[in-house]
This record gives sequence, structure tokens and C-alpha cells, in this order.
Amino acid sequence: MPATITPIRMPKWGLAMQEGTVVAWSKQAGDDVREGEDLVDVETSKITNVYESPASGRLRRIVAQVGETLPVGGLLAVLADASVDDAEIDAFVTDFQANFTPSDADDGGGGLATREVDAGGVRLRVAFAGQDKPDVPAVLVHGFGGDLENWTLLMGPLAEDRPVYALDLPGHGQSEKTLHGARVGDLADAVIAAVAALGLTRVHLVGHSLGGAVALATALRAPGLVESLTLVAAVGVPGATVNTAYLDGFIDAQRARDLTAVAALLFADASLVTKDLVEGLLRYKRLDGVDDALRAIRDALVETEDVARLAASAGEVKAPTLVIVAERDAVVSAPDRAALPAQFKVEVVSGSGHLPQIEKAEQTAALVRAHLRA
Amino acid sequence: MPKKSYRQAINEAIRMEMRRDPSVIVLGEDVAGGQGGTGGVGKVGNIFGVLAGLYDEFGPERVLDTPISESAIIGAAGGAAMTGLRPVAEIMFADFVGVCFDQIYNQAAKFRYMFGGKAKTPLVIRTTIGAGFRAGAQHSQTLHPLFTMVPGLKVVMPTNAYDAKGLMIEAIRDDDPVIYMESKLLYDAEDEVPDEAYRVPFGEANIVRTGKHVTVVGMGLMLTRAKAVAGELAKAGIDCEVIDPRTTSPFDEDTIIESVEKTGRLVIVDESPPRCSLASDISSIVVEKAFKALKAPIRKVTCPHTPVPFAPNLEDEFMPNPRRIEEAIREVLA
Repeated sequence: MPATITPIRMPKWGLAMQEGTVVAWSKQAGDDVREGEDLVDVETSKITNVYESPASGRLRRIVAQVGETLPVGGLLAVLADASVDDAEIDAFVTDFQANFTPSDADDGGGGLATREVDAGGVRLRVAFAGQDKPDVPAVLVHGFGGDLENWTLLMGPLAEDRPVYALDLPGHGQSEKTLHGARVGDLADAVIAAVAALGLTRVHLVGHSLGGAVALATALRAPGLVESLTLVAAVGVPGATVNTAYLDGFIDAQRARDLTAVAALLFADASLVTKDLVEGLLRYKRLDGVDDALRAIRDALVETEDVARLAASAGEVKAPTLVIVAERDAVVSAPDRAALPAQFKVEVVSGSGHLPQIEKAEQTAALVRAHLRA
Repeated sequence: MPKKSYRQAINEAIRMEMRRDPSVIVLGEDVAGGQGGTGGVGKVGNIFGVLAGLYDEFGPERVLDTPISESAIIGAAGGAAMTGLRPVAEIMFADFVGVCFDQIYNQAAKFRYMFGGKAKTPLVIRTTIGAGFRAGAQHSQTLHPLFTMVPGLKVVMPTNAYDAKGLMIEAIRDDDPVIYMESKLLYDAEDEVPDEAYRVPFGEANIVRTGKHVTVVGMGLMLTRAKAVAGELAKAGIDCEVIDPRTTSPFDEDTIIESVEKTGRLVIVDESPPRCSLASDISSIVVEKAFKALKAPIRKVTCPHTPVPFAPNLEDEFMPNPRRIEEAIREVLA
């Protein structure tokens, strides 16, 4: 009676996830599980997260033991009623494993689709999704030291409505490392040029951290381009201040252990700082030109009045603006609500550090998606 | 991210540095290759194809085929380094180093010191190591301890394509002599390697797998074997922390000591002969600095104190293999 057997498969969190490793089971074989209950902790190259059971039933068989790495869609466990006998479960598992190939489960073609654009003489990498969707496109701008992969958990939900583009800022990710200007306005000019190079005339702009300041500056420089603005844990919002110890620590850290301590500032739950996450950051920091680019951006951010001027001009933004505040952000402080322009809407993501789009991905995606639909 | 082989990664690193800096040159036996062959000069690019295409791009003035004379190669390279070039010299097999060892350990390694800090010697010596290639006792040795024990030399042992590129760029930009040891059996191993230039710093070990039961240190090809065994043992609930020193000089003692302080157990996997080896060196460091953390005797998995056998079945048994590595790990946990 196969209908009473439910496979529990490796989930796909974000467009770039290809495999996950079982960290811990919250349930034992033989336990009853309700839909939505914590079932298993899974570690990906980005994050460790709890996978909640997609169905109710008795956990009859744990197939993937702690420490095992499975491709997306691989068989983690089997739920079935008590009436199903062990032989049927054995047959189900054998049959599943015999017929499963990782590519079957890979709906994204393996990782993010990316292309390169010439943004006013600077080569930028852009990831895209949802090209076939009708609504006004969204453009996502990451923060200091980040890259477009910071958005992988948000791109999927947004791409259900509209084309989504996430770019690597100059000096970041796999974009060109030589900056044509390190000030927020220079980075906004690069975004404006990239949007034009993508052939887009009107977009929803979503910016995180430094990328929030860049998005705000873009909206002020090119108001006709911006359908809406979403500022996530953003710099440049009135009252928000940057923890310069983070900027300096990120630039100065050369070794994994130093960078691990700095990266812990990014999350409310420091256990999210995995070895792979730190290795990814180190690999970025080792690239030629990155150190110079980060120092130049840091100096422009800290030593000019650009951010203060942005905050003072925020009231001139005409586009509907959503400010997402991460409750436990140790990198950018919460804005001064009294100083915010009246047309700015504020939402707080509780329990999240500086990267709510990763640490509280579902909640943040729902907020952004609703704002873009409104 | 593009996947590239260890061989391609080394080629790309040298090529990018030659484009960036006209003082970088390559010299050695058959580094252009194809002399007297039907394909023409430059069609080979070293006997393993690591330097393919460099002669065509940079020409005979920067890619120099030398006579079969290691002492000439390293003598010329050391002098060129002292007088303003950045040579990347090749000793085809580390086994051949005997005939040019004076130029390495008593000349290049000591120039900075002998000239009161006024001379620099930005010299890279690439060479190949390792058995398992059916190449006999005189083309199969793993000789990193010979170089590691010499003050004034830096010694690099990349274990994957990503590190191979970043460590080569770091080696070429370094102002001291660097011995860069390529594991022959890793040339086709692929990894994600950025197209851009990047540097992997010397003296920082890579914790390739975190674990709490036992620390396993491996150099070169042996690291990849240790990692594979650790992956298998994880299924049996044995949680290995696997450490790749990346460079044996400078050497990152701290990472290994911190790991042993956590696990209390140490297995060292090294393809060199067991006496006066890096395995015995690491063992002595840990005994001196973390003795109280040890819950079991340290186990070294090395080859025996013999020449590398030519018979394939003996050669396979001679090298530390997955079975011997697993036995050692289980023994320290028993």
C-alpha cells in the first residue's frame, strides 16, 4: 500500500542549494510526527536550519544518518502508518534509491543562473530568476563584503511573481574588483548603469545594509526608475548607524579563526557561522583587489558625510518604502522611528541578526513579497 | 564557479603572474617541450602538461628549455632571482634534487642572511612528489622533509586545485625561495577555482573537516586519502577532524595543537619514510606542547623505511592506503 508511505526528502532551501548534510534528528525512529514539527537539522553551504516535517505520521525509518550528505531530493526518512510492515518499507526505500537521480530533483539547473553586464565600464555579475513572470522586475543589492548569494533564499519566493535580478556590487562577489569610485553615489551609479544594461526601465529596488544606502541613493538619483524601495537592515535610513568594528574586523581578518569571530556579529544565532560560510568569505577576501576595494568603500562610508546626507534626503523619496529592521542586528543599529519620513513603513523581524533574509528567510521573504505586490 | 584541475590551476596561476609581471620567467627541462619532435617547440609544456601553452604565449626568452642539468637550472634561477627576476624553476622529479642541493640549501636559502638582509631571492622551485605512478624508486619519493628542515626555505604542498592556484601566486610574489611540491596523482583532481587571481597565505592550515573524536593530519596526496577515510568513518559515528597544513614551512602548529586539545587523539598520515620526517616532527611538537591533552599514543601512518618498490602490488601496499589509515584511527580510539 504505497499510498500510506511518505518519503521525507532533502529540502531545497534557496536557488543555489544542491546538497545538505544531516546534523541532528529531532525525532527517533518509531516516534509520531505532526506536520510542521521540527524533524531534522540540515546544514548547507550557507546555513544550518531546522527542517519541519512536511507531513504527519510515524517516523518508521531514518535513512540518512547524522553526518551524511545528500543531494536535494535525496531520501532522508520514511513516514508510514503502523499498519505498514517493515518489508514494505524496505521495498519502498530500495525502490526509491534505485530510481532516484539527483538531477530529477534539481529544478534550478544546478545553482544560480548568472550573466555579466557592462555597467558603465565596470563588469558586474548578475543572477536572475523568474524571467517568464509578468510583474515589474525586482533588483537586489547586497551589503558590504557580501554578494548576490546573500539573496538566494529570497530570490525563489520573489521570482514566483516577477523577474528578479541580484547583482554583485563593484569590488564584490565575482564582479570587477577595480572600483570606479568607492562612495555610495558611485555604487548607485553602477546600479543605475546595470539596470539600464539589463534593459529594465522600472524596478523594485531591494537593498541590504550598505546596499540599502546604495538603493536609497539610486532612488534619489533616478526616481523614475524606482517602483518601490525595500531597505533591509539598511545604512542611510535616518538614525541607523554602522558598527565600524565590524567593517574593520572584516577587512583585517586574514585567518579563518579571526573571520569566524567577526562573522558571528552577523547572526543572532552564532551557530549559523559554519566553516563553509567562513571559507566562502575568506575565498572572496583573498582575491586580488578586494582588500583595496573594501578599504576604499569603508573609508568613504566612515569618513565622508554621504550617509548623513542620504538620511537627511530620505524624505524626498517618492516610491513606497518598506524598512525592515532586524531586531538583534549587531552591525547596523535600528533607525530612529521619529525621524523617518511618514511614507516609510517599518517592519521588525524578531530574533534575527543582521541578515534577516538568511536567518529568518521565510518571514523576511513574506514581508518583501507583500510590499512588492502592494 | 568553473571547475578546473590541479594541473590547470597551476598553469593558470603561472600564466596570470607572467602576464601581470614581466620579471616572472619559467625554466627547466622540457618546460617548453617538443624540441626535435614533430609537433614543434612548445607543444608539450613539461612532461605532465602543467605548463602547456606558456611557450606560445611568452616565447623563448621567458620560457627557457634547459639542458639536462639540475645544477645549471637552479644555479641560473638563484642568480636571476638575486638580480631582479622572479624565476619559476622546475626540477622534474624531487628525486633529482641531489645534484642541485648545494644551490638550494647552501646558496638560495642563505642569500638573504649572508648579505645582511640586502639580498632577496624571489625564486620558486616547482617539483613533483609521490609514489603510485609506477615510476620506480628514483622517480617516486616524497622528499618534503629534506626541504622543510632547512631554515630559509618555504615549503608548499597543495592538496587541491583551489589551493594550488592561490599558493602558486603567493609563492611567485614571495621574496624568499619557495619549494612548491606537486603531488603527481593529484594533477587531474578538480575543484572550483575562481578565474581571478588570489593568494592563499603560507602558514595557515586548513581544517578541511571539523570533528571531535580524533585529529587526522595529512600532507599532499595523503590529505585526500585521510579525508576520504574520514568521510567513510563518519557513517560509523567516528567524527574525525582533518587538517591540511598546506605549507610545512612556515608551519601552523597552533591549529594542530588546538585541535588535539579538543580531540585528545592524533593520527598523522605522511607518504615520506618514517625516520626524521614531518610526521615525526608533528608528533614531537604535539608531545611537547599538548602532552596532557593526549588520551592515546599518537599514531603515524607512513611508508616503511625502504625505497619505493617497483612491483605495483608492493607499491600500493608501501603507500599509506585507506585500510592502514582507518586501522590507525580505530586504534587511537580503542
